[in-house]
Amino acid sequence: MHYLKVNRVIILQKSSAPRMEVIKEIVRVSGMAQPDYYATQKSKYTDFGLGGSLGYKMYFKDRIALEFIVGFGSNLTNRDKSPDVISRVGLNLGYRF
Amino acid sequence: MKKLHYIVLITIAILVSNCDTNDDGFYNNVFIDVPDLVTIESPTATYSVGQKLYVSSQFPKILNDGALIDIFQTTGANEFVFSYVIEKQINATDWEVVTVNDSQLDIVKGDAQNGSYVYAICQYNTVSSLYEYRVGFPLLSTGTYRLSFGYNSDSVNSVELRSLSPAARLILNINSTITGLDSNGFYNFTVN
Repeated sequence: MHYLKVNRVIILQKSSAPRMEVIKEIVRVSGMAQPDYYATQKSKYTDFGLGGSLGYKMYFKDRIALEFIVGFGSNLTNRDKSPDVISRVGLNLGYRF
Repeated sequence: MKKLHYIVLITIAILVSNCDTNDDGFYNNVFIDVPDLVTIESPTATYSVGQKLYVSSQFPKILNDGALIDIFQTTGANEFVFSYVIEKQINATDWEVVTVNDSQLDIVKGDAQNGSYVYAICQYNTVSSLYEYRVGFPLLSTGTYRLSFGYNSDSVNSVELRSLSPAARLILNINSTITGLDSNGFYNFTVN
């Protein structure tokens, strides 16, 4: 296969977006007439994160675009449940008309 | 071209590293403290050659760690395991692990395997709703011995019982203090 590189771009992005995720945690079930027990429980949480991405974009034959993006961010508002650091990996394929 | 290969390789590696799901990385261990679940039967300073040293454990599926807790419902486990080591003094400072064949163990309840330590298996009795273990370790020669429960833990005065839970169930670790151990975590005795 032959590649023809005609353009390469370093991509810098900032991102901030609210995300709703599911967390799985161990809880002690109590308060009933029966003995307690431990169980796993899934619950939803929403957090707001801020981060940045760095990528590399190239064109093949002037028309086909390929872009890699790697980014990291930090959750800000609900860190008891959400992970402190979040990652983002992107692979974009495009066509220029 | 070479650079492209590196970029693709690194990107795929990062993509794969991000494939971890909640279940894959989920830490499914639970820890509780319940004292005196394991006992050394009839502790004495002196035994005779040919006698057996019995270690036993018998506990219900509902324990009290400050509040009642159903360990069977938590784990679904039919077995809890723990370990202990019996050593014999070979000179003023050194001890060696005493090993016997599994067939020489007097297995009354539960199960046991002997290697560099005794792997004790408390088995659930569905009739009595008790986890049970009672195994006698043969004392085959004279000497100074010691028994400890710290082979798989750093604790000196307690033993850790761990549930053998079915897949996808929680694993319960019960830290249980043991009476009759010295300050270094040993039960010392002599065989004459």
